[in-house]
Amino acid sequence: MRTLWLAIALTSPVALVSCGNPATVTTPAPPNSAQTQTLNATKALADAINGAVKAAVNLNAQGIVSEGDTRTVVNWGKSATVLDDQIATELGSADTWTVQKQKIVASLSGFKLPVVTSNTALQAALQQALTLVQQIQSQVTQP
Amino acid sequence: MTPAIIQLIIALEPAAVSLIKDIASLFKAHPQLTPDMIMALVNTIHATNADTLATIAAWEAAHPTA
Repeated sequence: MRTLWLAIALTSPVALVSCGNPATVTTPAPPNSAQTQTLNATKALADAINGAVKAAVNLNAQGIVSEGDTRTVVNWGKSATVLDDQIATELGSADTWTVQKQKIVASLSGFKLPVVTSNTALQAALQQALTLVQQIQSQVTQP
Repeated sequence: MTPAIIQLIIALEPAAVSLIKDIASLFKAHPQLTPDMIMALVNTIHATNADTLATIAAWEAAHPTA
């Protein structure tokens, strides 16, 4: 009986390891690389631009936002998607991270946020896009 | 279970555990996306932007400038 208990005690760690027990690895994952964070922020920016444009179009359809303000957001949306596509294409290129950063910094220099004061929800959606651009800017200007 | 098998497990177990830890730490030390994952994300971004442009085109078609 004592031998049986000893056998169970000795073999149970092996069973746990073979079952992929997460307790065997407790080291927390390090943060994502700057490049990965930039790519994630670029995806979030695409979503934010999409959200802002759709919000403007929907609010215009409901008569809440004027056609003039909607056109302002829509025109901005066209240039912002081109910028976001440029960043994404660069991040998917074979360039080194150093070169990618330089090209992205150059692309971001042309980013401007439209001024739309007629609706706070729309303002918030646009502000989110600006926050994400600032995040990308922060990643690509780090040494 | 014979004592010989137990001894074999005891002999092998430390190596197995450290090997698994090495493999896990290798992945955790390099959280960057793989090239395939990067391209998948890049394509998703392009698709989202294409959807935005399609929304804009539809709105502009319904609201032509004078």
